[in-house]
Amino acid sequence: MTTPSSTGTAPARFLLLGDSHAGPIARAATAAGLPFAGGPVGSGRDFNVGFFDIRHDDLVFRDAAVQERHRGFLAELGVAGIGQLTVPLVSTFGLSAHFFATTENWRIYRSTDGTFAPGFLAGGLFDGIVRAMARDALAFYRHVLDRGLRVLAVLPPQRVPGMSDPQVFAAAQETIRRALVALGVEIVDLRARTTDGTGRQRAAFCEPDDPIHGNLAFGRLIVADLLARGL
Amino acid sequence: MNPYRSLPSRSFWRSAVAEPEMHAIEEVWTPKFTIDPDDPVLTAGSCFARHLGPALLDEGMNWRTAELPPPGLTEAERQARHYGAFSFRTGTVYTAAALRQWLGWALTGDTGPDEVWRDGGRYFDPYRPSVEPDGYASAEETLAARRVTLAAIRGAVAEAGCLIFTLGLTEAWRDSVTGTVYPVCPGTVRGTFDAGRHVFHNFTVAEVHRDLRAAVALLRAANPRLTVLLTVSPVPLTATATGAHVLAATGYSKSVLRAAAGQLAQEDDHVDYFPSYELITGFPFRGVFFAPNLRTVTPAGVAFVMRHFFAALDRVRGATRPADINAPASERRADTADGGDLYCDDAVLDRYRAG
Repeated sequence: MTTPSSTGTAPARFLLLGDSHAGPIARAATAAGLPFAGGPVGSGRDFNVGFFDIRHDDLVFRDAAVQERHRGFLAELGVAGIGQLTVPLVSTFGLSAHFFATTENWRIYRSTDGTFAPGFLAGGLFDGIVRAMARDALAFYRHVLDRGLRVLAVLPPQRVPGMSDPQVFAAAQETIRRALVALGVEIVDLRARTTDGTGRQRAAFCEPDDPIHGNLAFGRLIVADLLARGL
Repeated sequence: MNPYRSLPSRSFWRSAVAEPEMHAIEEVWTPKFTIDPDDPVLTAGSCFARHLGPALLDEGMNWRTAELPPPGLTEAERQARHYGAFSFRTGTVYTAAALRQWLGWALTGDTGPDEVWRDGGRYFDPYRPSVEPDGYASAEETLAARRVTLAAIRGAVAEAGCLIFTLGLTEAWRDSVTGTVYPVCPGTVRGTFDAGRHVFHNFTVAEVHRDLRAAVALLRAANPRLTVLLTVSPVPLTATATGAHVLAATGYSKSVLRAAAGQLAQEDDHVDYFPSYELITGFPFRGVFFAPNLRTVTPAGVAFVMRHFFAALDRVRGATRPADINAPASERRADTADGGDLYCDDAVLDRYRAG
């Protein structure tokens, strides 16, 4: 993962904690001179279940390197724990929908003709499975919201790698989005501006030679949206 | 054999304009230079220029705003204080003279006259009277804010790859004491009109060309790799102070701006002209891109212009635009509730019309 970054001496306007999808956000914010602390701290698959503990009311990441980066960001912001933040938290945790949508994982739910039963992707079973896959990401958001933080989650680039199922991607993303909204998380959703008629990320917002990530232009749109939200 | 035999179809009115359906008219602009998607692009100019920035972002380009809004502003507050409308927090820059003036102040160390206007116990910058609608607490604060903007302009110009400047007007009001040019007539948005001091001037082609050339020289002295793309706003004058009919005055103003921009683009390899004016006002388009007031350009019109802009850039980059993304995101964006006049200082002139 890339090195976390911040800009200038002006007070940071937000803490960015995320997976690799946070990379373009960090790069775009730096280029725009938008002061922030944080950046990508790991891979998306590592921030869905079992990635943190609460010790003495403090959030501690289980991975030592992630915890060290996290502590460094908090130190930059002059606080000892994430619950003491006075700036908003921007995160991409739990939103690696392509990971939930790994085609192989859903094979047993398909009919012999390869299709899902009508209503399956919008049904309670699917919803429950996806929420279980992201249970600790949702717990992470619940924890920081309970500490009174303003929390924003950024939907991922609408890119589905070959190992994943586009239908499941869209449905899983929607499940997580709904769960986050219900918790009180603000969703940064740029799909109307970044996708084509089929709902896929336009090339202008895709990292080239990479099947998953958004590019710097995608980061710029996210940064513009964060500014529009008063960050 | 003669030179016309080797010209492309876009060079001939019948094949390029008369025969195609209106929306199929293409290759109206052949860019002199390309703009890399990650190269910072700055926008300045008349109120039509405010459409460019968001459209550039929505097509993956690097539109840069020089000054970030303070944290905590609502969207309405951000707009009212002119953050994010143009790259520079100067308000609308209608004339080439005003662009030259701002760039001169930003890039040469002269920060402009110290005079500020007082209104109801608040202070306003005569050269951008609408960017801080509630004014400043003191004259010092007003001038300090201007210095912040000038420093931001300086920094943005130094890093930019291209400045897109949209020329709006030839009519302006000047201060006979300082020799400076105002964005709008004193006494309209703010200030008090002084007939002995505030002088009307209608710029000529030679004057606009001179000011544009000087502005480009300032820019390229600060950043030798910067290119300049000129456009002319298709938005007609709200009012004219010439005494002429506003239709004729609009014809004069736009003709002068178009001629000066075209001349400079012919003379300077680093300057190009993008025909947004022709794409909206050209009679082949039958005025369909104007709102019922025949002044405001509709979102469809803005999208039409931007589609030509990006298609042309794609052509020079050698890229092709898939059919399903032909419509830029700007086509899907609703226009502002006020029809865009929030950023048009000259729209205030409509209040003064008789009857």
